[in-house]
Amino acid sequence: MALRTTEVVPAGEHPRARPPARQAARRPARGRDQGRNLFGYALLAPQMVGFLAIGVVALVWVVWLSLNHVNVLAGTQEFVGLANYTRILSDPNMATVLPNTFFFVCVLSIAGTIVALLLALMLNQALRGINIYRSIIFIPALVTMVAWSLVWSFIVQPEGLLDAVLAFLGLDPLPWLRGGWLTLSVFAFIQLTKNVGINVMIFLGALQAVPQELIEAARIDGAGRMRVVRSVVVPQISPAILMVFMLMIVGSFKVFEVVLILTEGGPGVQSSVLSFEIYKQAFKLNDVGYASALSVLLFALILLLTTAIWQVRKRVVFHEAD
Amino acid sequence: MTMWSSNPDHLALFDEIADDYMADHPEVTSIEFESLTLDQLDTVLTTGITAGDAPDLTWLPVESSAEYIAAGALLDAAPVLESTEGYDYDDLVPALQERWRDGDAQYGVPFSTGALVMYYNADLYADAGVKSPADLIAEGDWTWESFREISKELTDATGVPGYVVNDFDFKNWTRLVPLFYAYGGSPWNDDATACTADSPEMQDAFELFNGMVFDDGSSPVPGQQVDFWGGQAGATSSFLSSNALLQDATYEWGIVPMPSGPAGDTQALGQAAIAALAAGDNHEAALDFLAFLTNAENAARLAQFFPPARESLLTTDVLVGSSTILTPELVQPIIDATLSSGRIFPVAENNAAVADALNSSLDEFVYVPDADLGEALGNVCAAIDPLL
Repeated sequence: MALRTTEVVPAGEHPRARPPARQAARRPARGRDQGRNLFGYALLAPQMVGFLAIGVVALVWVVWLSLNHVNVLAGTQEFVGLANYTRILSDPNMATVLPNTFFFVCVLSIAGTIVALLLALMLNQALRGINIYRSIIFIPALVTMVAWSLVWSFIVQPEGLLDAVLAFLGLDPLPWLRGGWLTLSVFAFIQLTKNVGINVMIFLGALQAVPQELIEAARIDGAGRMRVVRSVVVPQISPAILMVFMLMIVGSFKVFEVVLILTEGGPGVQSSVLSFEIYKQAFKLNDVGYASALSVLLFALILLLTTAIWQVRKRVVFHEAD
Repeated sequence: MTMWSSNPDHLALFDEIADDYMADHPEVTSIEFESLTLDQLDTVLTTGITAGDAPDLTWLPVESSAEYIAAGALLDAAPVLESTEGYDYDDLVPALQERWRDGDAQYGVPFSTGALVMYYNADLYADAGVKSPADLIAEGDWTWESFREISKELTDATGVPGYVVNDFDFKNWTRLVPLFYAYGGSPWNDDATACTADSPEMQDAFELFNGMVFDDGSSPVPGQQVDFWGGQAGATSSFLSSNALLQDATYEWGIVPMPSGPAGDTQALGQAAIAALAAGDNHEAALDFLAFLTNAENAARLAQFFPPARESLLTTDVLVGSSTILTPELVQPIIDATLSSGRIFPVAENNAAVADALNSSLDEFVYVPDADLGEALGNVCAAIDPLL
């Protein structure tokens, strides 16, 4: 005779919410899981400690500084509440600096992602010497932004290489760095060409992971090259597209070196952006309180935008809704 | 101590003086000199002060004097200097200490007080068959107008700019002060309470400068890189200490005072001082070393590189020193200019903000082709007036 056992379920609890009896019997396996988890947390610990000790403390400290007027020469600070934040609203420079910042965010995130994707599709070919082309695209990513900007300063300076090309074509020189949309476009181009190689590599990795049988099935069904890309390849690599897009958004909020080296935000603030304004206020004008308020604004903008995009990922990224 | 020279000869001399001091003061075991660029200096100092790691002594440009003094960031060195045996405090030329004194207090000791002077490439003028600055001085016609003419002639003949303002790059207004003074202008009034950048004198000065840049093509446009020291321009204005850059020059060159203008012959003096920071940890030792570093004997040693602010040392012998580049004939007019017609750069209490607003607004409104200077300089005043 078999001994029957009856499982007593507490009132209000659905039986399926509890672990099945057969899982309860695998005590040794759960122990292994716990050990594995413990090892994982141990690996993460240094990073978390560093983040808490440096990241979170710095963040809280910046928020505190943003509520103070700081006299760095005298080494004093005075609590001023939200005065630094209300000053942002009345700062006439912000009418130029914020649109410039969003210009880079829009242009670099969209154009940067599209250009990288197109280049990756072109470079995802089994052609002889294709690695040379891939290397050429990736080389700018290996140099620092400072070096890249310095090289470009010789190209775009008055009577520089670009002006020489225009002269060869019978055109007048252009004021590449004298402000307005032309200067912003030059900066966007410099920034984009510097970073596109990394994004191309991310896309190449994703493209090479697309199952060939799906592509072949689509072709057998009569799909043309564009249709295969649109209906098979792009959905398959959509997580990579989302990641690149978000990285570009965060990166384009932090465009800095090219502004510092080529124009220092000038003429006036015509080519300035939020990150450069933070640097200028903190380190050139010694206004650490206001610079901190601008930093908090930058942090909030990045957080809001990335959170919003993360929320819509289920609708645009393949498999995310599963 | 933070300083902005990285010249090995300068550093060797500072180290030598520090070694001499430590030999007499065994309680001081280490004196370090940290080389920075002028651009980095303010950032390093403010970061150090905020982090509680400020240097004891620093090299400060005169433009920062009022701001640092008003913030209480500098120590009063007068009691130590006056009481140090053999210091000869009265030898410090009073007019050249003005920016660092407040009543009886002295917040820094100027150790480099020099006029911006004109260097010129004599070979280029000779090749172009154009009168050189020395020729104009000999003719008694050394003015900004005549300099503009020869600069244009040089440019037309050789294709290289006749004049480039050194260390300017359209972002450092102090390098145009000789021009402002020659026309009787200044960006603000004597007590730095009101903008005078829109005065008729300043308008005349900028008309000449913009004319050279945008009409004559004899001076580079904004963003254009031209190096006088490499032989790419006819003349430049810079400090006497820049002569070291001509050590390996492959052309003949000369130095003359800056041209005069409608307001007469007034030379613009830049200045740097050594000051003890209130945020430093070793106040007493810092002030004592400051007194040693700037006493008559060491000031004489430093004078081979940096024009001194001591009356007894303002001689050709001291300034030429062991230099293989300078000669008494080259240096004498500079000394005369310093003592007779020299005026130190304008200073404002809110220097960092005012300088940024001034550079920024000049760049935006004034340094543009066909600028309406009346309107443009009005915009400049609108930018800096609230900060004065």
